[in-house]
Amino acid sequence: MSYGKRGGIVIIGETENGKVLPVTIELIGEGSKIGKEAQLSVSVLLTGKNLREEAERLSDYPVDEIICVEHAVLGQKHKEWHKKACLECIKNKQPVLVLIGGTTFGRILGAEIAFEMKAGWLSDVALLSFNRQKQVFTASRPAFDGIMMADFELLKRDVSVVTMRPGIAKQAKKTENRKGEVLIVKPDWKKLYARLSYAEKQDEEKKKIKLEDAEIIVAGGRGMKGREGFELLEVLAEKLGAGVGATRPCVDAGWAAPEHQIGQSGILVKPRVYIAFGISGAVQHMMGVRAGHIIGVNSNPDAAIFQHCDYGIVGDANEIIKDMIEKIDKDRDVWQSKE
Amino acid sequence: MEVKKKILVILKQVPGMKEKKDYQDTDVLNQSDKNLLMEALNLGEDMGAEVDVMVHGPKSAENILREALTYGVHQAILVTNEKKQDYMVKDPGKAVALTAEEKGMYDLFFCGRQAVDGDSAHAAAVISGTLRIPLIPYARKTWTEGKQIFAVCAGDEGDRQISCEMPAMVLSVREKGQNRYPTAAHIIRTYSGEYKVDVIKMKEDPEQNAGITQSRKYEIRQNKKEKNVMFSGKDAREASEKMVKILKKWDVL
Repeated sequence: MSYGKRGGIVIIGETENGKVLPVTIELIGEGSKIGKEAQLSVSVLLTGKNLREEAERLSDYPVDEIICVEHAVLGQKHKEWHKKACLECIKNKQPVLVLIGGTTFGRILGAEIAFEMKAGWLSDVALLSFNRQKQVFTASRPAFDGIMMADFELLKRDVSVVTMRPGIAKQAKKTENRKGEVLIVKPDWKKLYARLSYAEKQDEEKKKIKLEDAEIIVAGGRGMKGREGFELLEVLAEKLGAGVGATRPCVDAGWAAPEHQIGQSGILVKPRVYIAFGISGAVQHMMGVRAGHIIGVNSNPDAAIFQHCDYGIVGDANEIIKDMIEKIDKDRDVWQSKE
Repeated sequence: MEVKKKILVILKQVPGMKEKKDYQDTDVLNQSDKNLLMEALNLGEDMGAEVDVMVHGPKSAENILREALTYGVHQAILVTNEKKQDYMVKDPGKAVALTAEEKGMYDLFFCGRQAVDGDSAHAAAVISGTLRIPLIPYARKTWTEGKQIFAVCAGDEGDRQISCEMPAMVLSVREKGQNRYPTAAHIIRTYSGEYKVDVIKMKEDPEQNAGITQSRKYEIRQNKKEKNVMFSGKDAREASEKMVKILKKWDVL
């Protein structure tokens, strides 16, 4: 079975409901940049079902080939099957660098692939470049829980697996000059056996606003003082049409669910407006915030959050939220009565 | 005679905020791993299983293990090479896996978010790969039925139930659930020396991370706003009025 050109850089793409995720386009941007510096080909690997349409769309980006591994079992995000498909391709192609998105799915898949390939592994890389003189890739990533940055050298002759979180790299631009070749591979897998059983997706209340896409975010920290504080924050968020974020200690304490966590070990957000309630402004959290405007509310006038804000308000977060909700409701009543 | 089931919880030594500069020489059981330990102890009680804990780290990590002993774990194991390690060149995951095998195989392995969020961030995959056991990722809730482990797992597209036969590894992201507390008896026995931490010297693994070396580390320069405006209202009402004005200015309201 042919998986196209050997060597080069392989980007493991990720799809959701049949569509390629934005992080894949970001990795194409990063991969094509260093591929050019290192004079290496760039391939995208997609695993799933009915991928041709998405593959054709990706061929407009600066990639040399898009390899689609299709099989019925790859229709759902069953880790073992996608790992099998990726490993067969990677073992065949022997790339020097494998890029994968630092999503919930990608982190585990990438780590397992790195282990099976006995490859070097780096997660949450913020910056990638190629040093022509030394013939090494250089990767920069946060270290020691985000307090520092560390640079690593990855030898070009050995295979390395690298993850990059969604939102870190710039998305690739379409190119007119190059058209990536689409290759469809249909493995003939017999006697399929998986150790993990996946049940149907749980019915759950539809997610309100995806934080990564939210234009406005209200986020809470330890100053919210408990689950009740976050319930209040959710009321405010609804009135503002905002997403709700949280710091890691709040998630660990069970005040907010993990999908609300913003920061170095959570989501990276780029809202137009970010309102931080009771958040100290620790570097691990602020690393995940790239906002147009920031308002910070904290009862401690020396809180680090105020160094990052356009406007800082010293006060009790919960009390201010309650009063804001009341004021917004009052203003809306006045506006509606005028109509 | 039924053999008692065994659970191994793999904890990470993470320094407290003030000690981060001297990363390797501190001794805090972080909140995330505390949640993990609670979960494993609760599950162990339901299963009738013994719960052991293991940490890979320097000698000072014994303090984390002693703290775990006060919660009533059966055995606490420290895997160490007593050297100050560069934070990711050697693979602690393999050392943990091989030590666990030597101790007699476990039915369930638990690791927490530090195994995937932390600096090396692939401990779960390395341990499960070395032991050739399935890895259930991002479990919010776990339970067992006979030889099977079930978990409700978080995913970017929503939660899903995943199950497999034990032995298995569970990467848990459970936030704080049912509380458990150290008991007086366990505290006394731990700090009197009756409960001991089993210290095992790590075997050198000839297979290191191929071709990756750390070249330097440096402090992050944070982007700070050059100009910011501070308000403090006489009370919350005044402060909230100012907030609403700002939000109207920015077209949020």
